[in-house]
Amino acid sequence: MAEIQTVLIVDDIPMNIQVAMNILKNEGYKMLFAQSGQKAFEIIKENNVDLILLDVMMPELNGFEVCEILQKDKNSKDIPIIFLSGKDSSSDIEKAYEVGGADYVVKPFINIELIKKVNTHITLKKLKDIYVKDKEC
Amino acid sequence: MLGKQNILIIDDDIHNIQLAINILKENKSYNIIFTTSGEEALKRVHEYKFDLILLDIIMEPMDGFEVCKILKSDSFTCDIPIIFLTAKDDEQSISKGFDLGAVDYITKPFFINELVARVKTHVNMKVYEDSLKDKIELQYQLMLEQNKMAAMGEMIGNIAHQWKQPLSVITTVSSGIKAAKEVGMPIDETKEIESLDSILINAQHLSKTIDDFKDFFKQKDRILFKIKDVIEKTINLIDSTLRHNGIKIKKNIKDIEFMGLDNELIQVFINIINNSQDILTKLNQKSKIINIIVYEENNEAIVKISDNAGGIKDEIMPHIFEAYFTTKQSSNGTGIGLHMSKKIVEDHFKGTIEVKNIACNDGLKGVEFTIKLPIFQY
Repeated sequence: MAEIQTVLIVDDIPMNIQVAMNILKNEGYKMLFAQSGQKAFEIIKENNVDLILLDVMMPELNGFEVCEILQKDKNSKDIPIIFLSGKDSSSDIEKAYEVGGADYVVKPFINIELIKKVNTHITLKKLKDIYVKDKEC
Repeated sequence: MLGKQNILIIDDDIHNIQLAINILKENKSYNIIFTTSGEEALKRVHEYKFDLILLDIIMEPMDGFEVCKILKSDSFTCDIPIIFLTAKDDEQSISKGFDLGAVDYITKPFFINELVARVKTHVNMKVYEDSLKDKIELQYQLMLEQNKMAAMGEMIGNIAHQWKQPLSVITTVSSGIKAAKEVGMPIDETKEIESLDSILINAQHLSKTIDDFKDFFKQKDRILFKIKDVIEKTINLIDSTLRHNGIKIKKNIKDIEFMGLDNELIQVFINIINNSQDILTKLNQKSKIINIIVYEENNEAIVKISDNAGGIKDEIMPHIFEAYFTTKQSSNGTGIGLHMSKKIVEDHFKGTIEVKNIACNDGLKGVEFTIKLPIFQY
């Protein structure tokens, strides 16, 4: 249980990455960031990522497309994805769950909401891994 | 995933309840129960074991925040995940909801797949957590069993020792009488009675030993017991090997009453004393002493068990309560004796156990275990 979990933040705007990192800085996670979907794929290949915070509105590949690609790859399909998006894009919420997102957080963040959701999905992933391993034994 | 998960919906508007039920009933493993007030909900949570609660905020007279506060302060309900499901969508309320211990906060109107996904997240989490708890409990039970088996092995050695002396008395005395009868030697009547008495006493002693050992291995109910008796029983069980190895036990015991499984405490004492015995046996020093002191302080029983066997090396000291840690590679060390002892003291007696090296009166070094057991009013 003592191992450090890794959170990847994907957003094209550096300021947004800064804000998310600031909110999560006391939670004890290793934090990586990417400013595009393409960059995110590279990081995921080279690192053991436990959770992805994924902005929806990005040039080139948008968040939903990035999610769909990750879901198709067996190496990344089990990484929980929390979508981040602006307040007035409620139709995005439905789409977020459709493409396989684990959750959805609206910007600007309410600190405790973001922290709790990140913690929840990291814990859920850990517990699920233990549970699945047990069932296999 | 085994079994059904119980979900409680609390909302004063029956239409909202209907809507949520319609969405969630698609998942056949959910068993959904609802109430239209906080007051009623607080009763229902004690009738079922709930895996998740969906909680509205704006309700009269008790609002959702109040219900959440009460549920989180009750040890029976504090582990049930709560998701607020409400039209209150201001930042302050959302923050307050999470602060009160809710796992999620969904604002109305919500999307169907949003509710489904978020409910599923927390139901799954609860199921995984519960299964992990079961697994830890199972591991603990296995370890307890393992320790008992190891103790049983040592006990058989103890029984062999304890029986040698009385068996030899019985054999000597009875064969003496038989031989005398066979050669027609006259036997003094009082001497004959004395001989028969000594056979009787020794046979009774054997029978009592069996009872002691039987008690030790039988799982009993919690009882009110005296700490002095527990220490006497412990010493009785291993007395003959202690004597055989030339080890002296010194006692200074204040009698204190406890409630619990006395066998478990015997197991703790045997584990500690056997460790001392293993080391002392290998040493050549003249005095081999195990000291047992019991006194009361600040409403706790303090049990100190120490020896003069040289103490524990500094690099080993921090590890001695770890599971499967043993220095007895060649012999029968299982590495769980002290680990189990710590678990028994902490989990079943809510106490603490510590160890340190000490300097003894005779100039030798030794180790001292201090067990503190809180005394409750029964």
